[in-house]
Amino acid sequence: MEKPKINRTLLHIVSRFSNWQAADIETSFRENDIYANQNDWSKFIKTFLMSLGIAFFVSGVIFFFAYNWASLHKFIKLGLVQVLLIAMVGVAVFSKLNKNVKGIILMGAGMLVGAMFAVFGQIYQTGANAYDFFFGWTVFIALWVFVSNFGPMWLLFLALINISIWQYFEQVLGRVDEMIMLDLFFVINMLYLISLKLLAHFGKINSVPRWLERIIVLVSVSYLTFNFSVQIFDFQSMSMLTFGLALVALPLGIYYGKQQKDTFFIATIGLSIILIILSFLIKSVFEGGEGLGGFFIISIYVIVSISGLIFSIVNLNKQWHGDTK
Amino acid sequence: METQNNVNSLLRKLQTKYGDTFSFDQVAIEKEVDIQSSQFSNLAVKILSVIGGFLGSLFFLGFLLALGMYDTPAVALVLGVILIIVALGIDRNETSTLLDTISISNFLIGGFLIGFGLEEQLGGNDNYIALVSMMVATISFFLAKGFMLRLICMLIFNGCWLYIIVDNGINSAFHFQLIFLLAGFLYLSFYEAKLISKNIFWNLVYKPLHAGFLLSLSFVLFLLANSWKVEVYFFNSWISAVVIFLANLFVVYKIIKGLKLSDGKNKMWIYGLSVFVFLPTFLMPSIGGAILVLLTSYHIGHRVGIALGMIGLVYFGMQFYYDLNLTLFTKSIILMVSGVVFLSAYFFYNITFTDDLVKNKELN
Repeated sequence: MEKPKINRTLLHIVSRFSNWQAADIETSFRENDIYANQNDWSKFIKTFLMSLGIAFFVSGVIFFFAYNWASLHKFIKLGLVQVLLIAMVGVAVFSKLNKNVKGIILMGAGMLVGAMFAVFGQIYQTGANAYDFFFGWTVFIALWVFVSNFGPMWLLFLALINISIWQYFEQVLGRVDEMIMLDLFFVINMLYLISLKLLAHFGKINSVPRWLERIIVLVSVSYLTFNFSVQIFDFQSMSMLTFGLALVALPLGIYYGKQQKDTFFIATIGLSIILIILSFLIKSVFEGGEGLGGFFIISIYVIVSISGLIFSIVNLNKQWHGDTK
Repeated sequence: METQNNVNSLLRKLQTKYGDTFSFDQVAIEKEVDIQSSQFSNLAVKILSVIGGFLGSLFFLGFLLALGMYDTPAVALVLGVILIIVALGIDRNETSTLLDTISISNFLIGGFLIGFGLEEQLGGNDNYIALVSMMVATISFFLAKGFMLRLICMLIFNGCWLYIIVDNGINSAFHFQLIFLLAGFLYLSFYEAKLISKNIFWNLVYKPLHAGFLLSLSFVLFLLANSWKVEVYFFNSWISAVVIFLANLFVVYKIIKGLKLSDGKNKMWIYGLSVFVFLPTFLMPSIGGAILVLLTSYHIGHRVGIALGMIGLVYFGMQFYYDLNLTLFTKSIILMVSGVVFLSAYFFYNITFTDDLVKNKELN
C-alpha cells in the first residue's frame, strides 16, 4: 500500500486536538519524511560541496583571465582554459559520478567556454562583449545542454540566447525599439519553453523541472506585462504586436494552467491582467483629472480584483482536488 | 476526501501504537482538515494577497489624503482604530483566505491613519510612533487568527524595532536584535514538536511566528552586509560574527542529534569540519547567517527557508569577493584554492562517509 501523504499542516492539526506527546510528534515528523534523514543529508552535503567547489574554481579561473596577466603568452592562456575544459568534460563523460554531480561539472565547463571566448577576444582585440562572443558561447555549449539535460544548464542556455540576440540588435542593427525587443524576448522564451515541453512529451528529454518552467513563465509574463503597461501610459507608441501577443498568449496560458491543474499559471497570468487593466485605469482616471474619485475607484478595483482572483484560485483548487465533502 | 483519509489512517496508526493513552477529538480534527482544504492557501495566494493588500491600501491612502485627512487628525485616529478592528474582525472569520486582501489593506490603512492621527499629539516624534506601532502590532498579533495578518504584525514589530535603533543612532544595539531573531528562529525550528503540542495558542501561532522570524532574520542579515552603502554603520560586528558562529555549531549539534548517529568518530569529523567551514564566516557574518538559514530549513524541510538560504549564500558570497580589496589576481588564487578545497572535501566525503551512512541506514 502506498504511504499516505502526511504533511506539516496535518501533523499540526492532529497535535492541536490531541494529547500527542512532543517526542512522538518529533518521531512522526521524521517518519513522514518532513524532516531530513541521513540519506537526505548525504545528498545535501554532496551537492553542496560539489556546487561550491565548481563555482569557486570556475570563478577563480574567470578572475584569473580577467586580470589579463601581460607576461603570460597567449598560447599558454588559451591552452590553460582548454586543458581545464577538456579535463572537466572528461570527468563528466567518463566518471561514475551521479547525474546531478555530472550536471554541475558540465555547468562549470559551460561557464569556462565563455571564459575561453573572452580570453580569445582579449588577445585578438575582438572585444569581450561583442555579440559574436555570446553567440559562439551559445552555439558551443548547445550540445552539452541537450546531452546533460540538467535544469540549470537549460536556464544558462536560454539566458545566453537572450543576451546574444540583444547584443546583435544593439551592435549590428543599431538601436532598436525596446518595445519590440521585449515582444521578441517574450516570443523566444515562450517558444523555448514550448519546445522543451514538446521534447519531454516525445521522450527526447526527461520532464522539464517545475522551477525552470516557472522561472521562464514568470520572466516572460513580466516582460509582457511591463511592456503592455508602459505602452498604455504612452499611447502613441501602442503596438498592435504587444496587444495581439497578450490577447493570444494570456488566455492560452490560463487554458494550459487549467489543463495542468496548476494554480501557478492562474495566479501569474491573473495578476498580469489585473496590472494591465490597472495601468489603463490609472491612465484614464488621472488624465481625466479625477484625482479624488480616481484614488477611490482604483483602490476598490485593486482589492476587489485580487480578492476575486484568489477566490477563483481557491475554487479551482477545490474542483481539481475535490478535497472537501 | 483524500486528505481526510490520510488523516484517519494516521490516527488509526497512532491509536494502535500508543493504545488508550492517546486521546483525540476526531470531530474537531475532521472539521479543521475540512476548513484547511477549502481555505487552500499556497505561496502564490499568499503573495497575491500581500500585493493586493499593499497596492489597495496605497491607493486608498491617496484617496484619504486627497480628501484632506491630514487636516483632521482626530478623525484619522478614530477611523484608523475602526479599520484595524474591522481588519481583525474579518481575519477572525473562518473563511479568511478569501478576504485576506481586504483585511490586510484595512489593517495597513488603519495603521497609517493612527500614525497620522497621533503625529501631532506626539510632537512629531518618530520614536513614539514606532513604539505605538509596535504596541498595535503586538496586540493585533494576539487578536488575529489568520497566517498573513499575524505575519504582517511580526514584520511591523521587527521593522519598528530596527527603525528605533537606527533613528536613535544606537547602532550597536542592532546586533542584539539580530541575536534575538537568530535565537527565535532556531528555537522555533528545532523545538517545533514541543511548541505545537504545548497548547492551542502555540500550535496556532507557530507558523506565522516561524515565517516572521525567518523573513526578519533574512532582512537583518542583508542589512548587516549592505547597510554601509547607505552610510549606516553597525559597529562591533564581531558580536554578530561570534553569535552566528556559535549558532552554526549549535545547528550542527542539533542535526547530528536528530540523525542519531552512533559512531563517535564520525561525529568528531563532522564537528571538526564544521569549525573549519564556519571559521571563515568571521570575515563576513552574513554568509554564516545564510548557511545557518539553509541548514536549519533543510533539516526541518521548509522550502521557502531553503530558497532564502541559497539565495543569501550566493548573493553574500559574490558580494564578499566583489568588495574584497585585493587585485583580481589574488582574488583568483583565493577562489581557485577554495574551489579545490571544496572539491577535495567532496571526494574525501564520498570515500569516507558514504559507506558508513549507508550501513547505518540499513541497520536502522
